[in-house]
Amino acid sequence: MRILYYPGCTVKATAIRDEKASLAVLEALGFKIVEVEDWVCCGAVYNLPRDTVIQAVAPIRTLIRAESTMRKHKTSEILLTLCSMCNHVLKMADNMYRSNPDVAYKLDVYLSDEPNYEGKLKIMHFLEILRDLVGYDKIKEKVRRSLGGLKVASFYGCLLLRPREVAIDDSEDPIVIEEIMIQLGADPVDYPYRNECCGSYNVVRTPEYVWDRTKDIVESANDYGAEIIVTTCPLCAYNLEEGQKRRKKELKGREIPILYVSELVAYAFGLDDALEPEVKVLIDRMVRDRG
Amino acid sequence: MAKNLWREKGMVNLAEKIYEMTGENVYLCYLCGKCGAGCPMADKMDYLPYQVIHMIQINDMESLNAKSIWICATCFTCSVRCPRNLDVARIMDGLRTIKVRAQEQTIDLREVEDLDKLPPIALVAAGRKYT
Amino acid sequence: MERVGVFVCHCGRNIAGVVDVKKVVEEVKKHPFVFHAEDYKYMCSAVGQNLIQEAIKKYGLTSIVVAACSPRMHLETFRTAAMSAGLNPYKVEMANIREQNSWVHEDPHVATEKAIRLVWSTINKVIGNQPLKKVRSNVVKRCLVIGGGIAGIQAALDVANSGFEVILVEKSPTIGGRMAQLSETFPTLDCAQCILTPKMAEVARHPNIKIYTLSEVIEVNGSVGKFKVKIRKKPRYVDIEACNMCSECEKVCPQVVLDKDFNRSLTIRKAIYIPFPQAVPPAYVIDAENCYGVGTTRCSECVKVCEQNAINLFDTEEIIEVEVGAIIVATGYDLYPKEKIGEYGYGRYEDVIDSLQFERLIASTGPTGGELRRPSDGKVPKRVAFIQCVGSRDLQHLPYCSRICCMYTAKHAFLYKHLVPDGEAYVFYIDIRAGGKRYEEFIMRVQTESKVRYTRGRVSKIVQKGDKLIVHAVDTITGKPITLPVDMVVLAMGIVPNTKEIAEILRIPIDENGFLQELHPKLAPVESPIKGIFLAGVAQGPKDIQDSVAQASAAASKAIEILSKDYIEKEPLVARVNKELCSKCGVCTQLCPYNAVEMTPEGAKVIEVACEGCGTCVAACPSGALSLANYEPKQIFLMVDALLMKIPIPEKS
Repeated sequence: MRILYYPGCTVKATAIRDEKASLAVLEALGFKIVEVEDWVCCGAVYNLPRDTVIQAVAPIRTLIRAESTMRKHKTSEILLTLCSMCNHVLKMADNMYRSNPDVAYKLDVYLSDEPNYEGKLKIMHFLEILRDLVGYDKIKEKVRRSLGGLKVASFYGCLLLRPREVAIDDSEDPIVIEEIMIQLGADPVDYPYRNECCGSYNVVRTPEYVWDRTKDIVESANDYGAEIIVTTCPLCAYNLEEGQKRRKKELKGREIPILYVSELVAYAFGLDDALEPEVKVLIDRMVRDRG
Repeated sequence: MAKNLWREKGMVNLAEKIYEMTGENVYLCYLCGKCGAGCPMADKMDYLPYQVIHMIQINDMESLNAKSIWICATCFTCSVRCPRNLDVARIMDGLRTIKVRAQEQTIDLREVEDLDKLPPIALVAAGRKYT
Repeated sequence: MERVGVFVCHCGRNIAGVVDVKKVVEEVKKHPFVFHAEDYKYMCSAVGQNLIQEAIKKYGLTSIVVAACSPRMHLETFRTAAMSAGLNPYKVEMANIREQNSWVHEDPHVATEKAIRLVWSTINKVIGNQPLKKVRSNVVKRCLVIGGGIAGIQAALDVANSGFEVILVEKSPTIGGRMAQLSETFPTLDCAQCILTPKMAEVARHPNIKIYTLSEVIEVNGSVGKFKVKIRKKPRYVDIEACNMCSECEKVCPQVVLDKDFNRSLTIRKAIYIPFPQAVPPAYVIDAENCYGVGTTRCSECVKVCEQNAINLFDTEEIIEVEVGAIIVATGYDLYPKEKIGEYGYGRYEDVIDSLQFERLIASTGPTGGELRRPSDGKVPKRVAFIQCVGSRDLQHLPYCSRICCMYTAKHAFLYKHLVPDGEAYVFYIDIRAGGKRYEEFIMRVQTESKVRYTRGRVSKIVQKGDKLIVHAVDTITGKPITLPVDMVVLAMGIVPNTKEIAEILRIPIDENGFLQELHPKLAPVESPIKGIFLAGVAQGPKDIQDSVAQASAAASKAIEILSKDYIEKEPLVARVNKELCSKCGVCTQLCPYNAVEMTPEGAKVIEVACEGCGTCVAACPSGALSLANYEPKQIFLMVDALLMKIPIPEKS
């Protein structure tokens, strides 16, 4: 199956590890990935006032170009996203365009240098593709190397689960990452902070607030015996990792490595080339230490 | 500053302005506090979300000066749990937008530490929310 | 020839303030059939009625149109008045120029023109009206009460004590309902069992009451005075008369199951059991789903030890058919499931319990014998959080206030402090609604005597940490976030009515929240829109025991009003069949919601007593063979013509 792919800025920068692993996993599962041509930044956050449409211009421009790419390369209508924030923004903009003709008209005017958006795409996050298009059983079949009961804490963060209209799972009790981890032979830990917010972009202005927050999250995961935390959001990943370094002295319990979901899947699939060497070594060691 | 701007334009009804901008009717709020109870940033805020909303209800312009509107991380926890189905995050964003449109900035991106380390989405988001 | 009189009411300023009534009189006088028209300040007053009676005699009027309020208000008044002046009541019609005109229009010009059209249209109808006689039918002197909770029990006793037979149908193995599960009751704190069981016993021994437990009403036909009811009685497998409650069967039964119903999964019971010792009827029951005996393999241990030979594993379902004159619906409520509240753990934390579970935990008849022990590990909880408005007053769940939770939570906190004097009770509330008699005083007593920590703020999340539950809330008074570790959480779950199936079977409407719809929210609160069916208890709206009992007595008195009559008079506005046109296709018999049309070899036949005059069959009949008395097509078309202001002149005959 040929699917479209929108990386977004961060996946090409600090989260390049996620891209490498995710694409390798999907290719191993039989997908052919076609990157959207000339994509632009989505804007990272979706400004919520409804009296303006400017926040939707960039994401809709990207969606228009995704449709062009779809026609040119004869792909399916599936548009893959990896970053939680991109996933959120693209879906919010797509919803707004489809549900409100006045907004759609305004956007068409703003974007008169592009073809009109037809609204044919189905935007899907990496996790949704694994759950809905691949299925847990098929993931299990592909496992070459079990994670051997590794205690994995999933960290969903906010934007995968909220608001409801763009959520990929139940906002209070999500299950998709845990299900995937079970297929890989890991042992997911159910800790209360998994659907909480890490502090997000506050890290730019008031990083202290975020470090307080990530300390609580990591300590809670520690309480429940987590050995590793996985996420899909590059900002959550940064905040959780950096937060532990900044609060090293105050932190109760061990420092916990932060990885992307895709990296554990790639490891279990035996896709070593898709992993950074130090990540491979880290997982190897953790799995081996468990015996 | 925003206060004066409004007076000059004769727009003094904050609740109406918020409704116009966001489609959210703050008078739906019955001040149960659930938004504040679940807010991850509550301990950093000067006014909790329901307090900010109450200030809008009684047209208290001080709500525009609440630090909270810059601290809200737009995580939507309040929005999905509100028993009156208010999109609280949207209201907070509305107040922030009023300030931003009045040229108020709470960050100078040039002075951010770790500028080269931060993920680009953090910087883009901060640029959108704080300037 | 028709001689029509028109009487236009001012209704003080209600109509005359907007409508030019003089102009209306002047215009309708132009109608060729109108012989007399006048206006008066209050037509419904004695003087106004007298005007009408005088005019009938003086001008020899054959039809009357009163242009005033809604016919729901005063049609009976004017019909009775006209009748005493010798006119057939069905030759009297009303044009509604108040609710449908003066109250909704501001422009006098528009309102006056509309009033003229409405009156003209009604004149066109009334001249086609036939003089009719009311349909009479006998009354079956028996009442059906659906639901054996406190409301059903009270209604059954009131009707039975008036000398009428009562059939009491209860779905579970015993009567008693939710009240039987409660510990103590607010605001007086008398024990629920102590005040309920005497009433249950009274029902059991009452010669006029027949109880069907494990039974459900599955079909109801007919109408007021004579409803035909089908009841499905599930097998109990134990003979009620023979069982002497010796409990030998229970001792030998090998099948242990969770007691989901009466003890709300807090304990276990056997497959042969009694819900509680004072159950009525006092007899064991076999839970067929869990018994080894009633399936393909039979263990029969209970049968072997039963000295009374009361157990029959071959017991079968029974369908009982009965006729009743009136029906009282009191099907009660369930708690909104805590499994629907994600932020409180979707019911996954063992020590987050609902309010009925707490009742069972503190009841002396409960699984812990009245000692408060939490479900997970049996420890006495030293700190308990009571959370109000769970599900209630929440647009994501139940938009309404469940009305009883403020009071029972106060009671819970009070009783908790009595059981665990060194414990701490926190109540998280939004408002305290204590509007009943002595309710506020009770709240004050709880606050002062028990020093319960009332905290204003809704809880946002509950998480488990070790053997503690962490409650995340905010004190909205101080604005301080609260993170409170507690041993147990009691959720004051909202209440939801058990009405879906019964409303469909009885064809009575439910409101947007599932409660049975009363005929009028203020003036007919116990009547359903279908005559002869009355409502009681939480099925009609959230209420406490006091109000349920009061409403049950009200419903009973309404039922008695019907049962005490020798016959029922019914509006004759029923469907009629033109047999020559009928093609016997049978569409009408299938569509009739009241089963009032039957097919005979000669064609369709309307059972007048059952017909409610809804017109469904008339609209559906492909041959045009059906019509509704006094709503003939010709009349309707003339009315429409007048409303469209062609103001046609009907031919004089």
